[in-house]
Amino acid sequence: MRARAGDYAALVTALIGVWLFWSEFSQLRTLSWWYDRVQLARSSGVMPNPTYDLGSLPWQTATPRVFERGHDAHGAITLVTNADPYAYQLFATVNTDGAAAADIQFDIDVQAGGVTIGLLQAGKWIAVSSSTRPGRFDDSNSTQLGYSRSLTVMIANDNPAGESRLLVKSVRLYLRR
Amino acid sequence: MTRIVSAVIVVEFVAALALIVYAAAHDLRDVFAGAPPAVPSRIAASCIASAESAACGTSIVELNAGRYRVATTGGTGTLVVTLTPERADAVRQLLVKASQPPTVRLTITGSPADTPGASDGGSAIELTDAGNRSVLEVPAAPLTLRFVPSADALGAPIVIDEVGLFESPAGLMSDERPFFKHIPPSRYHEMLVARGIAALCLFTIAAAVFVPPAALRRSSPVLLAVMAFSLSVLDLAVLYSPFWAHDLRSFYASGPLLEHAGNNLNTGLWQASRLLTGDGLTLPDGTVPWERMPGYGLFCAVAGLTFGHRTIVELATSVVLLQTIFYGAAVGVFAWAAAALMPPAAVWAVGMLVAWLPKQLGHTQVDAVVAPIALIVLACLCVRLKWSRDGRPIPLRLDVLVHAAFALWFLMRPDVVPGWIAVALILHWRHWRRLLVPVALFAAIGITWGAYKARHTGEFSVTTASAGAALFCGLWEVPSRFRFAQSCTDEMYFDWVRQNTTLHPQSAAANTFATREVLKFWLTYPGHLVVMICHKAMRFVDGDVWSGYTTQLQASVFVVVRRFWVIVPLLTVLLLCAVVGYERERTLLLAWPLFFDAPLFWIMFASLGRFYSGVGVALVAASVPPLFERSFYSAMAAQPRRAAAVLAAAAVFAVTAWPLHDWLLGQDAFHYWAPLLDPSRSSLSGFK
Repeated sequence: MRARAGDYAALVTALIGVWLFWSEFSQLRTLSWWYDRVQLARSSGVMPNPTYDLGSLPWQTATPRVFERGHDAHGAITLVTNADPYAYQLFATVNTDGAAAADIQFDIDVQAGGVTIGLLQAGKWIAVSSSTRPGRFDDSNSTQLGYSRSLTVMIANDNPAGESRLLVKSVRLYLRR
Repeated sequence: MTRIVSAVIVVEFVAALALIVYAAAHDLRDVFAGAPPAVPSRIAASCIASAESAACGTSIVELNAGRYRVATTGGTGTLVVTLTPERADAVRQLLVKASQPPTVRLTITGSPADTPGASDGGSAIELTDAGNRSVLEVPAAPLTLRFVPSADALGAPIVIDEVGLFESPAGLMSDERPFFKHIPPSRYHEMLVARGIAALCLFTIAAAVFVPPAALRRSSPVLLAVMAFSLSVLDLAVLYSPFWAHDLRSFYASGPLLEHAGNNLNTGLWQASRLLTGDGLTLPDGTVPWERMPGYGLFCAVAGLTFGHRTIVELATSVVLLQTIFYGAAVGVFAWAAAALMPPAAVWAVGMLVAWLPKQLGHTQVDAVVAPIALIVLACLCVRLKWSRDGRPIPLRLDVLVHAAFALWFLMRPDVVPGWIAVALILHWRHWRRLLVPVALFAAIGITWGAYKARHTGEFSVTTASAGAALFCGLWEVPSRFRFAQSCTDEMYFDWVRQNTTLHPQSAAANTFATREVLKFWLTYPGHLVVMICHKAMRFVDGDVWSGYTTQLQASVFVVVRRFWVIVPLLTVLLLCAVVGYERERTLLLAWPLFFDAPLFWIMFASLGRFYSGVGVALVAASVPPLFERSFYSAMAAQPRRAAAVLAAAAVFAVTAWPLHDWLLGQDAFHYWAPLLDPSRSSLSGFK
């Protein structure tokens, strides 16, 4: 009986090992795919069409003091946060449609204060990018998705001293199966 | 079937170790060099004072050959840096990292080529990414770099953390990886690698149970030494990354080495530097540090002799390298010694956990080497215990070895003394003459150091003159309304001594005065003493015992299981061993720092737990092995009531300790109760 329990324990350990190696490799491969594309786009200047962009994301306000959508083709968003140092300000929740990974690319002009932008699933950050000083903040991030069917793009204040002023020029969300 | 599964586990085990070693080897250069080899260049710098500023100067620090830190000093103005490469035969890459002010305008002149911003009077480059590297292509010629602060920062000093010429941009903005090379280095190293390696570490602990014991026993000392070194390097690669933070050399040049000689991170370096130039274990002003033992200065000198000390920055890097090697070696030595007392899987678990725990190896202060020294002490105790169990008489040389390990700790820090006395009494109570060994070692170190210091201070003291300061600062590490209750510094202590005496604050007499005053304060406010001990003990259990600098290597685990919920079960194992009579002697000897060292810091200055490093490894070494020993569970089963009582007590403690602590901290009537002495007669009393 004891020997059999030991055998099972060994089998479980071996399987955990296989799963561990595979999941680590899989995560790196998934993220690497995205960053390879970003690198390619930097050299060619072309990115594929996103699943959602600034205009098509269903934005909802949380607590910002000012939220204005531009009327030009790009529809840039002017956002003045409230004074809560790290409070959520603006978010958009979308269905993942069974995607295995999500990539986000953004271009934000931080006019004052700082900003955190990222992705949440089941209320938890799964990808976060922050800038705590004024200036252009353009970057991208990528993450594997969990089992939750929805995904939230979140923009939060990141200024311990109070409100921040932002011009969100571009947000592109890619969902990958 | 079983054979196949075992073989798979062995392959996975080896693969996990290989990956950890590979990851560390990949980071080695970035950690200790900070950049690929630069093109050897001469550098000159000047500061052109702005109209409204007084004259300004410059400082240049060589980080490594061809890579420099340059900053303006005194007034403000334009920083002009001239780089003259020794060979002018290739296109160059200029690496520049400005940290102050946030925006700097850089003009590159002296080259006729059509480099952006490189021609005389050409367009300037705005360096807006303060604290991050920029790499610019420049022609192979002497270059003049003019750094001008942005209009809104004209009064600010200019600090260029890194400047140098390189033949290739490779390895400057990101590490050179054969795989996954476009993942940003911060994401890759800070999160993905650290988390992945943490998972592999834990996996090897489980897998070790199924690895053939004989092979594991034979290979553990070497493998664990390599693991400890590798995991230390991986931690350092995150904490001192050249790509998103300061590399080690830049960190020391921009911080600790700019501060006054004698602060925590530069005392040992200055002592070693001066020792190596024949000026003794002194600071640049010729004084002997009042609050240090001599060991760490000597350790730094050995590091300098071994790995280089051409500049003080190089010496700092050498010290960190030696600390990392020492940590790895100590884990290996412990694994070798413990193998005689524990199953191989238990040794592997202890070694791997100790290697994985948060460490302080990037800091050039004595606390960084106390953990490996504690491991060596525990290793010596394991060897002695094995001799004792085999019924062999303990040879004198073995006791000399044990006490030499304690003496090594004493050479570094005097907090070992109570534990040394306690362990010596436990070991030699039947052969009291052997107590002469620790006495002789203590006297040899204490008298030598005391005599050396006496030449400089005129006072004789065998240890340090800082116990009073540590007691003084310890009082204020618990929230209270007392007027001194704030972050404690040497200056705060010196001011208090000066306000109340005419003594030199660093003298032995001031030390005696401070000790007496603190003891009087304890008697004046016994409630504060109780609250202080309770608060610090709770912080200890809550995670301070594993202080060190946490990266995702540890945080990825601690975010799932809070340290408190790991530490309390480990303490419970110790208690179970004591109560059910399982391996009492081994447990007591391996856990001695927990009983005889940690409590010192509940009444003295704990400094957010940085002094506990030896205690943290002892907790793991003493409490983890029973979990891998079937006889431990048999011992519990043989005494189920005692075991159940301990488990119940631990559960009650775990659930009620923090609420009780919070309640106690709110009891002002008790906290500020003064039943014995008149508070007005204490120089420490008084409220905000």
